Amino acid sequence: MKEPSPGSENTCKTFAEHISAYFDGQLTGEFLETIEAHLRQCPHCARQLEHYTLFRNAMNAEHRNCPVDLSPVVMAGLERDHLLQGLETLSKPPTPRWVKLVRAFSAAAMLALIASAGLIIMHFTGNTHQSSRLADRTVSPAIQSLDPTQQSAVPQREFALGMSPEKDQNESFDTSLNSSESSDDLNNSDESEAPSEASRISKRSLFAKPDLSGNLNKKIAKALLSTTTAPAEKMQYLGSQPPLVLQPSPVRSEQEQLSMSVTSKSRGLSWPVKLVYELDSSDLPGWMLLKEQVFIALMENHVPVLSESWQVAEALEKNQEFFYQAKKGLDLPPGSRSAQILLVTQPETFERIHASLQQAMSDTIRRRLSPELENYSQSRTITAELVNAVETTFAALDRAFGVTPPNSETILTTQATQPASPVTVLTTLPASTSCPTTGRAATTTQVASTRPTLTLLPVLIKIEVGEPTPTTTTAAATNQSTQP
Amino acid sequence: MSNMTNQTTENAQLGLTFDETALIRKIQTGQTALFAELIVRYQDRVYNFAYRLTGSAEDAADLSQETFTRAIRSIRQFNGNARFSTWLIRIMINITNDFKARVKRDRENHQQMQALLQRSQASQMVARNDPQLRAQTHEMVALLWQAMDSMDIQHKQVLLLRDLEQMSYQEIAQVLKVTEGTVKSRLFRARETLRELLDPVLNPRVGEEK
Repeated sequence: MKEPSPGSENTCKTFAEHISAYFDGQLTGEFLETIEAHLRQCPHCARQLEHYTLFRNAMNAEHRNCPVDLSPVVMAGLERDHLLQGLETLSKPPTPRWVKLVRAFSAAAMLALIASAGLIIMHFTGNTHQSSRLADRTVSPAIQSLDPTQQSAVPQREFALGMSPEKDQNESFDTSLNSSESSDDLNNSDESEAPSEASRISKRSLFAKPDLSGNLNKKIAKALLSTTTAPAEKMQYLGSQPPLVLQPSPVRSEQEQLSMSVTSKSRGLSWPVKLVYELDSSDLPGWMLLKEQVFIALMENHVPVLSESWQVAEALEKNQEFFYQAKKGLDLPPGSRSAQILLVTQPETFERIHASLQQAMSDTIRRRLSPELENYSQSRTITAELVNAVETTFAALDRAFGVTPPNSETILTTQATQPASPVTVLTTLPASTSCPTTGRAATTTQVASTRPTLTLLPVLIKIEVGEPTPTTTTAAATNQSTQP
Repeated sequence: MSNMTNQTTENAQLGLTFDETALIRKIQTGQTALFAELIVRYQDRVYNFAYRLTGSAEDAADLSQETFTRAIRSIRQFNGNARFSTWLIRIMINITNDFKARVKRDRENHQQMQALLQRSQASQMVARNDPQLRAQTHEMVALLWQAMDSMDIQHKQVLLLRDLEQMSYQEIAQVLKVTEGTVKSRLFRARETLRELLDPVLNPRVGEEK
């Protein structure tokens, strides 16, 4: 620090900046004394200091308290983010720009490849209608899902609930394919992030749903990459479908109540339970209701939804709670018969998750049986089977995790005693469920009747709902189901 | 064990209570719902800063919300080396730095502000020399914030960080990603700009100060 000598012509000018530092208590030693001496004899500089004091006092004269409690708003936004993108932003290390570019480039190349493949098919078969449908289904769901306006236009709740008939989907795909907006977004993805963040702040009102455009980049990259593997999954996952709301009013009000209570609870988890639901896709309305309920149960118990295998690997390594949507996830694409989920919880909190899911299931079943849904063919038959399957599953879970007083039975026993049951329960995870990034298979050592502490205990429960079955198994399963 | 003790001592020095450290650690290990508690604890402070930074209640609410949202998303990057409030403010500053358009608008306002202050009735009220008295004068406070709103965003930031948030030069340097020397000179320039802007109020009669 350069020390000006007092008494010179330009002393005040030289001292001016140091007075600011003096005001902030930054000066020490002899120089401090010099400044103080100068301040005592120079009214001009004393006045400068006085003004600084004035400013500071004025700045602290009034404190503005936050007019609303932001915690529910922020946490609700966080829940929605979790539902949409798992813990991506929480756990993903920042991606270098060059990696993004390479990814975008390879994704674009894949798109081009797909498009040209479609053209070739068209060329050789001459069946333009079918092949264009194919191309639409492969490419456009992802692109459509990139359109931020459409995303924000679709309320979360309806997305969780609804699924449009396939015909409507195709129509909407066609229109979205023609729009150039989404490709512009892609080109400007890196540059557009900051302005869109800025406009979020200025435009969005306090309680508006969080605009998802901020994460557009990642979605673009993800969605583009996914077009080569599972377009239908992404299509559902990002919720860009025009929703078909089954029975909005009763479902909504209940869900609103549920989401209101979300922030007050917290759970710590580290125990995996894998549930594989295999349902007939002709019961889509029932499935969507079930899916909605499962999501609500997850939200209530603060289980983050992961969608990427590397996230699972990371979560397993850190022994963290999570819910993983496997390939088909909870989204049951038309024609598909299976969906996989992986839930990791801690023993001491498993009861809560369990209770929530059980409640969710019974809610679903109740709704499914309500006369409002009569129009859907087969719903009653399938629902009866669903009741059976779900109850049997929970009975098995009860024994496996000791929710009810544990006995010597394991899940395997369940399978053995109910050969005629439509429910198949397995005890090990297939190799495909090992963490793809680490190659580490999930622990399969125990199916315990007593609860291990912090031991990962994977359990695969497969529910198959096939042809209507005699009621003997239903009765048996119902007897086994327990309410904690 | 001694590491933990050191950590606790450091945290105490940083103004982090043990409770808060534990809370943050829990959040970092996945119990994100606990973040609501931190929001409740810090929202008034964050909102006040946001309000002073933006000059608008609506923007402040949005900015606070965005700050907390970003904070929870990157909570694992919080390493306890800074106060949690400092970390939050840093996030907010980063958000506002994206907000380029505002800077331009501020420059346009600068000139209008000068004219407004010339005509202000308050210039008569605050002619006395007692800083405390002046600070309590409601109109003076209002004028100060008006002047602040018309300032360059860089100057405004540094003044708020120092005089409102009472951050040290070191903390400000971290938040703004500049050197402490820059903090010092920027603070000085900001204060002098403020004096210029408020000159008609601070020195209503020419020659009084000599």
